[in-house]
Amino acid sequence: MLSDMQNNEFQTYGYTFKEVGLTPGEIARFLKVDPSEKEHPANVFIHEILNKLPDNKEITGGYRILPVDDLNVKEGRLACNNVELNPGRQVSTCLQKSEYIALFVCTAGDIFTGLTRRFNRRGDSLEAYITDAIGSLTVEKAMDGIQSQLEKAMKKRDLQITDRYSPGYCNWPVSEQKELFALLGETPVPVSLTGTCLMIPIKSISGVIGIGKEVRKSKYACAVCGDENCIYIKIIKK
Amino acid sequence: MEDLLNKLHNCVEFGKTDINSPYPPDRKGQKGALEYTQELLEKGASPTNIMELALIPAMNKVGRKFSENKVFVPQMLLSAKAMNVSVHLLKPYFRTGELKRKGVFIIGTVFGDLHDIGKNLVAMMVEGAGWEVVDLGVDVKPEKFTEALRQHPGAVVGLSALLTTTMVNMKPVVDAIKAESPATKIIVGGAPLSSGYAFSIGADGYGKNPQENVLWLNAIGYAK
Repeated sequence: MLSDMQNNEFQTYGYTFKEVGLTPGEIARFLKVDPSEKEHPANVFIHEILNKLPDNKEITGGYRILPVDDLNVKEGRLACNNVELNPGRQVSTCLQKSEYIALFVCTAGDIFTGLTRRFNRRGDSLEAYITDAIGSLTVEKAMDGIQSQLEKAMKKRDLQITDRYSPGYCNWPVSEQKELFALLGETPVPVSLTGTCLMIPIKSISGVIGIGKEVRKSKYACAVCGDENCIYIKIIKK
Repeated sequence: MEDLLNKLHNCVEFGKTDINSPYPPDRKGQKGALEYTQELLEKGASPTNIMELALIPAMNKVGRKFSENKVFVPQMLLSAKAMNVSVHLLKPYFRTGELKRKGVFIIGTVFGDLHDIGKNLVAMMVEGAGWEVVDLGVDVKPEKFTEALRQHPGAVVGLSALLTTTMVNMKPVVDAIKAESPATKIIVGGAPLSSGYAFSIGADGYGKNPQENVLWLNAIGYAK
């Protein structure tokens, strides 16, 4: 066990929208709009709104690393710090051989939800839909950055990381958010849970990443699942 | 008149709102749904024909293409926008009773859930199918649904939920509605749902996508 990983401190990262680096092309492809159709109202609006998004570090996230006490793939459960998570067999299989777990949370803040509501109130449904999609893509891309920082930090210790997994995906019940947030404890990331395990702000993600000498990324998890409603499938296909 | 109705149908299908809208690019500078609706009304077309021969079939076609993955949400929203400018011109005829809706559809995302994209898409397509839509928003408690039903007796109700933790809140809503008005038809939808789940909580229908909601509504509407 590496001593500097045992202090369990939450590593925080903050990004401006520009630093997240979401491009108009990425957004258009996610929406299944041809980015080369410059006059398509979706493309026109994407360019318009990207120029208007504030440049403060409202997009925040981070992770806390905890040693894994027990990981039972067959039973689909994982124990850390006297808290038991039940991510199910699918996620537990992907976390196999994890010696540590990075619990993460990341939020794009309230801005996207606020803007979406404003557009909906005005009857601008297309604009509302696009703004909501930008919020989802922003928080995922910010988390990509944080995950990449984690990967670099672990590499220095000769450790690998897995992909990230969240309650609500890959058959991990959303209700497990309660246990996940209990494990995360106090963090500087302003995300709270409702009674129905919905994260507020809505454009937030949370979950776990496995860490270990022998863990690996499972390239084919999404291909096998094929849930067309899942944001990860949509991002992969964009 | 038929030619104008076809042109209006076409504008709604492809999202051409008015003469100033630059999209679709191959129709730049050409008339849109606004101008064709005005022209049809000026030439004496009945508002019912405009609805039933142009707007509703156009939105039906869009819904069908959406369920077949031939068009996606942005295109559907553009079509809805074009239809809305047309419907706006028909509003006086709804008020006088010359033009009638198929019925009232009350829709909301159940309490505990704040997601509204799916609900909004369903509301839009149902409106495009000729129904009056009463959108109660998100995080809607059972009593708000029953209150809306009291204001709109005979309405059909649609419930939406996106999470496994919130779809369980559909049952108390269904129970409250059925307790107050057993004959009220209820359709439910949302990513984690299935038809089996829908019927297990006492709903009358399950809409996998907006078009399925419309087809189900039309079926029960015509049966009335």
